[in-house]
Amino acid sequence: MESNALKLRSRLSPSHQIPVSSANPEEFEQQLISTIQKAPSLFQFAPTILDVSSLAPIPEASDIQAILQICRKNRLVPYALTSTDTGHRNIAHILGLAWVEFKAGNAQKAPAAQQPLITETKVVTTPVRSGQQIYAKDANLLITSQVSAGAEVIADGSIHILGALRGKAIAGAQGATHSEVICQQMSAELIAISGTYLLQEDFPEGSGCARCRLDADHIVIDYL
Amino acid sequence: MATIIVVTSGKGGVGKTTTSAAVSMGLAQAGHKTVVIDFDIGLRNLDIIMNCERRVVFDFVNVIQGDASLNQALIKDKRCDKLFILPASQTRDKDALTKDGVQQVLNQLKQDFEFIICDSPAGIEHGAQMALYFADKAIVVTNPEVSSVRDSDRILGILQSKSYRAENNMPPVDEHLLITRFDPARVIKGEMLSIADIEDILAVKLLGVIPESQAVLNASNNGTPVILDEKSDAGQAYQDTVARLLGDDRPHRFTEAQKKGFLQRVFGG
Repeated sequence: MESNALKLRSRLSPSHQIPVSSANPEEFEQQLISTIQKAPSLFQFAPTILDVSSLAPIPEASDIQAILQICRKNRLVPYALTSTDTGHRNIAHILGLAWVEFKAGNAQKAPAAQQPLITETKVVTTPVRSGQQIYAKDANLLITSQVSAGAEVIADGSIHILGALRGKAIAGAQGATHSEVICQQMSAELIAISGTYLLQEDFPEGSGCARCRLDADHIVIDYL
Repeated sequence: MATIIVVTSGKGGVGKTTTSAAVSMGLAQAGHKTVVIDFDIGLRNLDIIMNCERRVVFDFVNVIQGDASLNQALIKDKRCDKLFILPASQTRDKDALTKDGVQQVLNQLKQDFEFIICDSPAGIEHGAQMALYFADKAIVVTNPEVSSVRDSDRILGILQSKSYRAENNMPPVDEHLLITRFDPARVIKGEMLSIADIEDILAVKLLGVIPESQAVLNASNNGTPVILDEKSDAGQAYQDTVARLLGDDRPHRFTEAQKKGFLQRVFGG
């Protein structure tokens, strides 16, 4: 008997989520057609979730049925409903559709986790030599000596170097975009802040004391 | 209390063995009982430079493995009775060195000697790490050339993090920089790093500068440590180096290009 049991596999696959802003079928069809025309191939029999959040008060199942038919006519495959209001869940059951929690996962929490408050500082008083790697986890990094070529200094926060920086400096290693790298003598091999990096050959002209920060998606080096 | 000094560099061919031979001979001549150990198992060279290759019966590995006593393996130098050589094994490889074995031999040597000089093999692997592990002082030998300076920086990092002193939270290994094969004329031409450049990159106190000299090769071929060639500039520079190691304050010589005298200019020289 067991050999006949189904082998279940779980998988993630992308779907379109289309907001239904009007329960009026003609109005919705017009909006849908104009959207599909922008990229017809993207919508060919595409699995689709309908977001009915803006339909209030809660519509009748027959209204949604009409919307579904319009979708199918336009070669979409609607299979689920979603809404910020769980009152819509019942309609999904009546129409034999799946119900998907609005924004499954915790997308809203993620940005908060990206910018942890860093108050600790790790202090290194000896030169960081070629081949050595220093990591200040959940902390800023203060180096009172130099960082040699071939060395790597990494911090989840900002990095201050009171001597020459000749190696690699990686600030905001967990994604803190406000992190900076500041050093007394700038001869770095590479500067990285929150995943964005700049190689020595792409550095702007200049030398001496420098401050490196992230502006949008590129690294700015200010010589002080 | 004996002092263990490692002569190391990371890069090969920069003058570690020449320096080990010269410094150990210099210390012995100054009246300190000194032993120099060749850690380059499998590539034995020190005995040639010390001119005792025909007197090697037992070696460092034999002592570690208990096949010979220390007194059987130590070779007394014929020129200076305060100097002893513990040769490397030519038929084994570096894995024959164990931390416990090396420590036992060093502890035994500490009873009898004032200075123990460890001549490190090139590289940063097991052999080099064994040579530097128990060191109190380090002489880092560097050529005025970018890759040699980079490798010295790497070995300084290992001294800081992987030595016995570092692992047991003792005061760090006392690091000294020795620049060898220095040619001031080529620095002026921009072909060689200057002393200031090297000091700036490595941030270690300068123990000495040995000029590029024909005397070094002659000394190696003759089996005479170059420090015994008192007329040569390299020999004199090594004598200064040993004096500084013993606490004497001497100015650095041979660091500036010699202006050619009138006669030299006329007759060439």
